[in-house]
Amino acid sequence: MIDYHRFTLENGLDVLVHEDHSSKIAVVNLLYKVGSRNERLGKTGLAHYFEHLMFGGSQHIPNFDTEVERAGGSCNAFTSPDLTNYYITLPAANIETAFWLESDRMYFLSLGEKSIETQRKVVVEEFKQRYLNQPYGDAMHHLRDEAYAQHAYKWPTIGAQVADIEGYTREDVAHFYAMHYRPDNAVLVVAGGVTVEEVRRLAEKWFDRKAETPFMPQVPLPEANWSGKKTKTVFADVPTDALYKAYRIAERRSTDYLKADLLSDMLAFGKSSLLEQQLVKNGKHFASISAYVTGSIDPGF
Amino acid sequence: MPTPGIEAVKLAVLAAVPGDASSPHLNRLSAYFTLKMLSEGTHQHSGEQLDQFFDFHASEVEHIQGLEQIGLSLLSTKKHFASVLPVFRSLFTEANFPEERLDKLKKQKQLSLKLRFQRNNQWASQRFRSLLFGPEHPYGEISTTEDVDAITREDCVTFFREQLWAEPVLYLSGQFDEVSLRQILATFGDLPVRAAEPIGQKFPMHFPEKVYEAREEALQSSIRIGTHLMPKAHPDYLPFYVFNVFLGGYFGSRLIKNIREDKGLTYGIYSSIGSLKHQEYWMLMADVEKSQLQLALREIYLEIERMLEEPLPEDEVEVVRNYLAGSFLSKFSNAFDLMEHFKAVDKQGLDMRFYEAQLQYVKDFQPADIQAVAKKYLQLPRLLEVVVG
Repeated sequence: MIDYHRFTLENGLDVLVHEDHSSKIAVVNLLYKVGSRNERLGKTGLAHYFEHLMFGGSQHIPNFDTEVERAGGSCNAFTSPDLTNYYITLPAANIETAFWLESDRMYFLSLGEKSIETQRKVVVEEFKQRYLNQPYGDAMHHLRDEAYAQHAYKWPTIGAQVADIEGYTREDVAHFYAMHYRPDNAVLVVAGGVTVEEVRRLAEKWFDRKAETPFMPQVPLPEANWSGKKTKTVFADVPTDALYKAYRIAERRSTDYLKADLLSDMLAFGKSSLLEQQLVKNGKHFASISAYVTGSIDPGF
Repeated sequence: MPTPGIEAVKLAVLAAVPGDASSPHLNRLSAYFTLKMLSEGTHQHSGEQLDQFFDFHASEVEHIQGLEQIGLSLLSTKKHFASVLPVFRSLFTEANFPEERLDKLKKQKQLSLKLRFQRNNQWASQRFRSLLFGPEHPYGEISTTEDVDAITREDCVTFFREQLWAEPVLYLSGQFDEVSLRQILATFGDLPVRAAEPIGQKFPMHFPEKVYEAREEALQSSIRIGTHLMPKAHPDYLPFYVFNVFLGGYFGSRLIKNIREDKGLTYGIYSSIGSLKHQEYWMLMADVEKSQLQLALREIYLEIERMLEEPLPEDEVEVVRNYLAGSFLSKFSNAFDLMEHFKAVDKQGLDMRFYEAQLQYVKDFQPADIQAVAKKYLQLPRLLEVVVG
């Protein structure tokens, strides 16, 4: 196991530190506990779109990326159904720059008109590039839509449809920021050529503010308790048929989840797995097969 | 390259792809399928037994299929490496080429060819490469499903007997000691090898005609623009390398700032340098909103021109210097990456000193120099433009 040290600031920010003195690099990783899980119908994809806006400049730092690069670093982020995660890798000697940058966009994000409109277009292009402009790209849209009756896992993080992305208003965005981007809804992880003392000092210096409003996140509708089999057939111009099967499993923090995870590996992880051997290598109908578990906060598949 | 910080061992064995210009299509496919078939069964073990064996020992065998190099690599734990090595070695000479496995691999390959054709961005890259190197050249060939149909077990067996393992090189990294090093050398010491036949290096150099492959149903247009460059040892290489970073080689690049962050025409636009044994090539890629294709193209060429003609602002130069210097720290922080960086220079006859010179250049370069050098390569008749969608 990786050893780490953990402490919580007064304002609720959870901090984890892993010291690795063999490295001259540090990574500053700030995770917000918000994802497409916290969206509602009609405003789907907002969490992921908001991730783009987090790079659009803050009150004291007009150009986020330039300042990361000037410090010899690089950065990126990703959004999942359950969380949005931002990370900066940079020379450990410049680590305070990362604290300055993350602090400013947690408390003082600009949310300018230019950024809102340009990133709307960028995300629509991302939607087309990844989900519409290639065979099977929208398979998960269909699958999730069948697998959930009402829970927000019903749509992928990119959003249910392009129209939703086109429809976000300035108020939607500002409200989402105030509701979810706050120290008591975040986990800061710092690893690499750093010490716990230094990280504690920097965390207290740059994340000293409390959130001004009580924490009331948008939570998903509980999934209806249904059983039985649902089937959906989609016709499209693709090279060959593809079959997707989903089975409901437990939420990540239960022991049943671990069983499901192991089971899916036995079925389809690695060349010796059961389905690979029986259906791909020794069968006539399958060119490839794979399996995974969604491992989500609420029950997944 | 011992890298004891990681409790795993990686051994890659890379051999030269034979340079047979007479029937490049079949020859390259023979190489592809022969290599794939090595782990589908040997005289001692069935394919299923091999799969079970490597998985059970927490080990992974990978097939490396490059334009110029093919081979196998083994990733294993320190604990299992010694017991897995002899079985890994047997893949190199003991394959028995079961017919039904070849049939399956052929069907899988045909499907992946069809998929590549339907994915506009993959097809654009394929067309680009084909035109850059020439459709008759092995680097530029486009295999068809009919070519795959024509491959027989006999082709694989012949390739295996007559052409595989030309001048192989063993690359070893991870946690190993003198004993395991000697074991590896003894295990591979009797691998029969042959001399490599050179691959012809004549490519089209001028591209007066732009290529546009329209696709009605496409939602985006995939743009590929590029040209031939020089080898890494050439004095123009480092200036061009830095020039490319400014233009499209990092997230703060001119292309990202204009085409994505200002105009929102694309999700991503990048330019990069591809590497071959004798030279490098340059490619710019973006998938853009279809109705804005002409605007995107115009702005791309405008950014190239501005990069070539206008003085580079000091602030931007500082950002690029710092960004690159920092990227060197992370580039060499992972044990297995280190070997990949070595391979990249080794194939052009250089060693790790190349990276020291590169870092020094990043710190010292004169903006005017990189512009003067890039001008030689980024002139219109030398630039190939391919658009699909």
